Amino acid sequence: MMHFAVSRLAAGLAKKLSPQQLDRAFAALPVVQAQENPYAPRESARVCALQAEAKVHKTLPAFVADVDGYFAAAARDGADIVCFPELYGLMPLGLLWPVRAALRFAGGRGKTQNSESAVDSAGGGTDNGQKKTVDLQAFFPVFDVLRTGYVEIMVRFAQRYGVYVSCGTLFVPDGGALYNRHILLAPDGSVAGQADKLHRTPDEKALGLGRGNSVTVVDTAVGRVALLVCMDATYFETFRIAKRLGADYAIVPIGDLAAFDPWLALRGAQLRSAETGLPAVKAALVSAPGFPLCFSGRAGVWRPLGGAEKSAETDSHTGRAQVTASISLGVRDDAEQGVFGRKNTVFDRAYADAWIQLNARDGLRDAKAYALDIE
Amino acid sequence: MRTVVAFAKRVVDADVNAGIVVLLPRGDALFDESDIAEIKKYATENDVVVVTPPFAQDGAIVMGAVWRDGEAWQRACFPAAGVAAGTDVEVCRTPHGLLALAPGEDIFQPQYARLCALKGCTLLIASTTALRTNGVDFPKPADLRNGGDAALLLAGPWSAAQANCLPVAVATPAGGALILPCTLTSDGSGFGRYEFDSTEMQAAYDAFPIFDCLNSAVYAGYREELQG
Repeated sequence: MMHFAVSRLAAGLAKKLSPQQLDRAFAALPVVQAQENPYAPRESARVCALQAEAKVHKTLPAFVADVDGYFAAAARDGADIVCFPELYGLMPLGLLWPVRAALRFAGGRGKTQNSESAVDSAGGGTDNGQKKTVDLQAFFPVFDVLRTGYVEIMVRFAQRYGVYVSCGTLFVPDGGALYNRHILLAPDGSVAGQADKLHRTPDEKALGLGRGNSVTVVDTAVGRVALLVCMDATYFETFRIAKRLGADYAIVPIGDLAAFDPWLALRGAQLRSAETGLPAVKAALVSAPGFPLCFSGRAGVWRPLGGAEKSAETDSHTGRAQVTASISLGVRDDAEQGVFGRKNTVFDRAYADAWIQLNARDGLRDAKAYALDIE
Repeated sequence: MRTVVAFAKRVVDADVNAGIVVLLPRGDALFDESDIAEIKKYATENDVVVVTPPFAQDGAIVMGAVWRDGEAWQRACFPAAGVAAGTDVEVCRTPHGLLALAPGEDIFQPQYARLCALKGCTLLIASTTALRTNGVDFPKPADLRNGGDAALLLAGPWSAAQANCLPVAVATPAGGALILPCTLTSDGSGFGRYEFDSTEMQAAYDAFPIFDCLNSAVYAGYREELQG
């Protein structure tokens, strides 16, 4: 029964995202001029961090027109790269009426919760104190169709505007597991790079999502770009590794399913940029009015504290908006780090040993209990 | 166990109810044997832990904690160029918990607080003249964009507290603050309280189980990048 229902969903989505439907939807868009020479060498890149809305679209043309609005705004800002938030790739699922019905149900149960997780409600909430989980594997056929369709939409936008596109993330089946995957497209629509979320939230872990196993830095005409996802920015180590792998900046799509709290929101990419000297481009998913789940956040471009350029973020944690800024490419000025970024070879080796040992015991409930072992 | 932290320019000015008295740093970094003798006397008579400001000693910057039957001294590991550096951070067992000290700019190196947490530290005490922030004028999240002292306070000690679920006491020439995990303060800022207990810390960790979300396959492959 489940298999049949999923097959119907996958077939329905494939029909709605077919090349013919996409042709029609894109044909309705106004004519625009693609950026010329998007691969030309440059000393700085114009990055656009979107604050994009989670929204239900009943038709493909409506979704495509909505996305076009983001690209048009980024183009007016002169963006070379347009960055979408975490989970934005799931939005086309709203084209399916059963998904819309499920969203309304989930929203009724969970929209007031304040959780770190972007997939808390997808986990099913609780029943008599027991966490219920969804068998995501059963939905792989739907996610397969979604990946093909969503990426094709973004490929067309990359070509239409002649820009790099950080697609945000979507759930991608790969090798028997499902990953929260960040995909970067080049202006010709080719995949410039992709990276799976490295650090799962407890709810993502409970859902059985897979995780990446390396820090991805992609060489592009708009700089060496580290591809991270949300929770990855909780750890300064991820940023430090990316910087030492030569990244010019990190793109961090976020999708927090929680009421906005400016202090909790502060614990991510913006601090990592100050600590490590690696600029961060944070694209945030926020709920459109009436959307049944509560996503919140603020998009921004974050820089080291000592630099001449100031960081910037959107004015509000609600509504669609964007922040566009220029980031210098090439060697970074260590002076930007001020009192941060000092080195002590002996100390840093001891720290790295302890950190790797802790990770070798991954899943430990109480790190402090382990910690006393190494004294 | 309940821990109360007080900040004072001199020990005689300290809150008598505090278990830990943190002396504010002096801009000129002067501190001598007579100061240490006074501190030891006060710590013994009042059964408290007294934490010194950083001071120069034998070409290094040093900071200490003194209590009735013990003392611990910590060399700054990340001082300015030309100053002798320590090579490790010690976590010391005191009557008021497992303390670690962060002299000078050590609190701005994220690996420093991380190693303290991994060693079981229950309170990290930082003292720095790099910050002139008054402990009462707590920063707002938006201050991080604007640079200056408020941004440094957020990106240094505040970040260390949140990233490690670790209380961080920070002393500056103008005042001090105890920074707790956000969930332990009524306004969610982490600022405004001067005491905590160990059961609260477990609750804070449960709310944000940062070490439960690690990924071993990643870090084992980047030892060189991690250790610089």
